Amino acid sequence: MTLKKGNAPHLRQNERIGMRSLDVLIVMIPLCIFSSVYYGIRPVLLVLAGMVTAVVCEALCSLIGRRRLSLSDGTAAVTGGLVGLLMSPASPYWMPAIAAAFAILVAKMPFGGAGRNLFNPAAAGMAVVTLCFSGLLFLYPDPGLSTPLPLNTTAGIITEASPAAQLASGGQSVYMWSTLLPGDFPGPIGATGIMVLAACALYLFSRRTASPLITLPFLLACAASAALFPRVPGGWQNSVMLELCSGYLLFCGVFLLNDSVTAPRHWLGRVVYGVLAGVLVMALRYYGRFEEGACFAVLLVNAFSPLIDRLCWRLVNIRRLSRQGQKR
Amino acid sequence: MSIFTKRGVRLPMMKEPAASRPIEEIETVGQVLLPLAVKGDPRRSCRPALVTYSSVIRGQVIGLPEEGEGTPVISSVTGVLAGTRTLTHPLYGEMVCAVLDCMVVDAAEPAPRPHMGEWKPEEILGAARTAGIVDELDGIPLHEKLRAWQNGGCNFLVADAAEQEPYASSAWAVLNESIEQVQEGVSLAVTAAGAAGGHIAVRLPAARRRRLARRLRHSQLFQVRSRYPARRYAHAAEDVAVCRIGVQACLALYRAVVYGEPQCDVVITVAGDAVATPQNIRVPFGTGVHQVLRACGLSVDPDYVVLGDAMTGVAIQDLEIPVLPGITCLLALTGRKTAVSRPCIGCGRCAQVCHAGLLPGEIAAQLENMHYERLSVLLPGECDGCGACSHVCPAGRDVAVRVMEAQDNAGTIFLNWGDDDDA
Amino acid sequence: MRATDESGPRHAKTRPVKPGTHELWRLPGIFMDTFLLRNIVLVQAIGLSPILAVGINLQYGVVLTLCTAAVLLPCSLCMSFFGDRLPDWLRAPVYTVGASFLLIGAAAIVDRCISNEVYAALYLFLPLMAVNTIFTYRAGGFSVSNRPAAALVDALGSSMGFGLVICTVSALRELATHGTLWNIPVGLPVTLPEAAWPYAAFIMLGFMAAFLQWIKSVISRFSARFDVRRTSRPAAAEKRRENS
Repeated sequence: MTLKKGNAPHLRQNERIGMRSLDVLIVMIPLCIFSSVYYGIRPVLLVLAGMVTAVVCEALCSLIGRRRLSLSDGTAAVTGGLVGLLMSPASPYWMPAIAAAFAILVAKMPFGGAGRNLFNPAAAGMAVVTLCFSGLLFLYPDPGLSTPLPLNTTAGIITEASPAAQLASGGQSVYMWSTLLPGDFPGPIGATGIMVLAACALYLFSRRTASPLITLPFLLACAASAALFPRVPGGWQNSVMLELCSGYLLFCGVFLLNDSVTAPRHWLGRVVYGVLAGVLVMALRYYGRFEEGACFAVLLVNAFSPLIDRLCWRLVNIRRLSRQGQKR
Repeated sequence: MSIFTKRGVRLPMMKEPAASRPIEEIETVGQVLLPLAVKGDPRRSCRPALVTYSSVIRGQVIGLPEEGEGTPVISSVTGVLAGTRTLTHPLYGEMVCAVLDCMVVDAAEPAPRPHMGEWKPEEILGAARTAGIVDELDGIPLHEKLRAWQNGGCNFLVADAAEQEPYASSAWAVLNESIEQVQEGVSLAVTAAGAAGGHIAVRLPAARRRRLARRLRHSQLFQVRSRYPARRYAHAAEDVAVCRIGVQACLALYRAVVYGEPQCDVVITVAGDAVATPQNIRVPFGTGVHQVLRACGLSVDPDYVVLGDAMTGVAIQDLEIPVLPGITCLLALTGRKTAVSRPCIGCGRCAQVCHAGLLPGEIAAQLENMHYERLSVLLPGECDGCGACSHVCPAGRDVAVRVMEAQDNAGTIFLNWGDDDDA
Repeated sequence: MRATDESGPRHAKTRPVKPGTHELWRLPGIFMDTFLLRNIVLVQAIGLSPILAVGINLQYGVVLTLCTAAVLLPCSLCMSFFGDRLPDWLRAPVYTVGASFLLIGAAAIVDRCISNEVYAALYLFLPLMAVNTIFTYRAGGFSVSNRPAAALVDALGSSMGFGLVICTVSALRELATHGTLWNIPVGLPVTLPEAAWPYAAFIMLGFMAAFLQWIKSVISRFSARFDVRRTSRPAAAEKRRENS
């Protein structure tokens, strides 16, 4: 009888990294279904294109780096899926593929793979696509069309100005509560279903995969800046409604900011992180070149996340730290 | 909602079937190893009181303390002193043990001494010292703890029978058997420590708690919270110092004071999926782990034998190690759920569950990156090693072990031992 | 507190020289060290700004390399001649002024003899070269404490290393942006105008630095077979802990 060595505790909870990714993948399904109701099967294919590219790139990197294949934690599929969900339903298939490839090949694997990346890979992929193909990315088809989008071509798809574009151009917006809440407006695949997104957020909160300590302060900060500096006539309520629902702000708050690798760990750090991200997202909307710059805001706060974490920890534990200082 | 959850974890409770069985007595013991001197601890060094091959009876002093205030070593069995041996115990470190060949395991009830009414603190302390009572919670002699508290530092005394960890049920079994005596022991300890009051902290289902409470004169049971680890053992304000002692130590104190009986044995829970009959068993101090396991029977060969409970226990490889005060549980497990250790994904679960409010993942990261100078501001010294962070870690990392390492390394400053640019 | 003494030869400066060996033996080592192994851009991250901003055309890259060399070589030579005779605090300003005089000449040559357009594109960055961190680094470090020949070779290695990086980056970016090389069309089917932005250069530099590290790790693995004294990092750490 040989006895093994092992560190305490000898009893572990059943939670695994793969399950966290699985949660995110699960909530992608209703978002895809929602979009395919309006646009046919094309959005699903776009999401799949992103996912497959990401998985292939991750496998490739593992092979090159002679590392253990790390697909089972599912983070690559999540990144690809998120990138796909942020595309326009009318974008060509290579666009999510490029974004996902950039996300994995540049923003994730060179830093050491899952758990070691400094920046959110999906946000980095989106940033590159936004910079390089801004003309194509923000062409959103009209959901009011009764026919599904053609699968093999992007030519001839009628596009319409999204609420974000209308806000950015300073014009009057034609969208109301009644069209925004059911998601009957042009926008990215996964970001128009406001109600579905809210349900997804609740599910992720309950599974502890996402933290309301990030999402809620983020949304509050966005709403506050929208109310204080409205870009559209019609009172602050109108401004808040349009700013929160347009673009992929809500999606960013639920998915991109809640990527646990790049978010702070401390509860106060998370709140500060959310608020900072919200302010940055709104600032980029007001002064940025693009109608939606949330991915840049995410990358910026990601860079500050360790600093925020450290400062907030010191702030909260200032009494304990000074007591320790006295002891010496 | 996850943000509003209190710190700590909910552990699965696997106390059954051991908890509902009566306490068994061990029948054969073989050899008993009793620590005479622990290396590096002058208060625990005794010289042998007897020559080798002399016969000893249960309760006889076999080691006299080098210092006047030390605790004597008391034989826990009747047998023959066979010599001494040096061994390394996972809880105490290296120590010199007296080896006793056991002949009889007897638990003779001594004649009750006449009750002398009120006991003075010094009498209680003296009885605790001569009876060799050691607290089973932490392995410190009871009279040392009480004396330290006597000079201020203890406002409220709690006999801790909470047993928050998954398997242990020995304190419950002891309470079930003799809660009246434990209660008397608590009041004796309260007198000795100069505390304002005391009670017994438990964590039990309501029905069992009510059944116990009915046997007490006045309600002295306190239910601790169901999350592990418990933080409050009494309804007390922040500045009230709450001190804990073990239930078995209370019982032994009562018996020592009233009957003059030395503490010779301890009730431990033997459980785990490799054990044939999980049960609480009363064993003399110094009994080898293999003897205890044999008494309970092994259904299969275990892969892990854990001294202590599942959350904080130490996996041992040497089954000769004696059962000494400081543990109340012994596990034999065939396997355990282990994740492949992946890099930290920063989910923050460890920070959420840490009852000390630390950032265990951050401490581990700084330790692994060898940023020792950054450790001290992260206060790793406030960790008590409850293991909740490792328990919840979805990446299957040994976070708690890293934090304990950080405690050792927090003072070291260790910089620039190579240029960053060379491979 | 450095562990170079324990972890084997790291730098040309600390590399033990056999007594009686001619100093010329060291020169190729010094050159390779500053040119590649401790590349001034990829390893020490000095002189990034010109690469990010104007490393978008191979022509600019070559001109900047030549200017750097034209300034760095005489300066290093002077530094090693004067050596410690100038106090520490005076070195950086004196050599910066000297470098700017040299650059005025170099810029004039670029303007008159090479191309007016190139000068127009680079006119902001040529003066910046004079106050570049490369000089402060050289002035404070290697050149001052070394013989003229070694300093010259070191300066050559530095400028060539800088040139290697800026030429690679600018050639790639020119290809991606306009599909040309040295303003000659290559005939690429797609162009990516966004490669002219600084972030693209950052990404390229990152990958080049990683590639360099990989090469170095291969070299060190190869040489570790012959160098028994070389100890691994954790081992060195252990050793230091024991000492302290």
